[in-house]
Amino acid sequence: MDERRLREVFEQCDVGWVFDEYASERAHQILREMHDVDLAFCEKIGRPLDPPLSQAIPADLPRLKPLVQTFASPMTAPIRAMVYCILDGAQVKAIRFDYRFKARAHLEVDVGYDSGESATFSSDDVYDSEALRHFGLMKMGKAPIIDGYYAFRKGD
Amino acid sequence: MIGGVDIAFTGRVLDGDMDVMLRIARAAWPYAFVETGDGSFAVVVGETFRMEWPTPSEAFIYESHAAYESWTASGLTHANADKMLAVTLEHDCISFVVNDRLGTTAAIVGDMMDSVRENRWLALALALPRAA
Repeated sequence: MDERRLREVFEQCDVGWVFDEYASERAHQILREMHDVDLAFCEKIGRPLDPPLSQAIPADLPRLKPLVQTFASPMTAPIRAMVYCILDGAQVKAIRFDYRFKARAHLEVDVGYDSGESATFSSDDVYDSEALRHFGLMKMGKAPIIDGYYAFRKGD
Repeated sequence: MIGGVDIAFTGRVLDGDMDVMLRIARAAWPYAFVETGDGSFAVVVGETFRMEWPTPSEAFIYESHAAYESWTASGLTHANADKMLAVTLEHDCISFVVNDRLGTTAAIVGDMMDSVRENRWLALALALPRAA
């Protein structure tokens, strides 16, 4: 994906402001970070992400919009890979979050595909806790379900 | 002819609504099978998250592949009546068809509507500023 297309993609995902300053440097950084997500996905799931994210995103933008928005915030590659898995149809199986004032912000998310593939993605970076604001909150009867990962909307 | 009871859920339909409903369907029926309204695709529910669901669109959600086959071969029967629900997405309304108001499909639709309502609220509450 070239820089011009990358900027179009981010504008279509309501985060075009990412390129307001140092556009060229930001584009290169984001493409590197997309590659890091490819690597994190392969490490955890045990197969390469095919096609790689930089090709998958422009080919399937409506579905991957929430993932594009993660590149507008300082989210780490494993948590972005977790987001990809959910958008790819994986189910959120478990979430563990442990926070201590000035000491710890630990997030762990278990995901599983219907195929049986599964992985645990974790982070100790508090900014990755943003993911908690994007999960879908649901109920089945009184049973809790946290599943899905949704984009920020643009204000009306 | 699918018969059953119509349930209308009015309100502006958001991009994530169908995804929420399909995830509820999978939670209720782990082996659910989904057919697009025009019959062009019929896939296991896990595959549907890779599909686009524009408005308007329609889907039939079956409890399993066996239920899908039963409906395809025989249409509505006493045995399969509560093993399929229909969902239609419009711009400002989601319509459901369920077997009756007390059965499994009605309970699933109730969970779908509650969950969609909650996630619409979250989406609106966390919206990016207009200027962004």
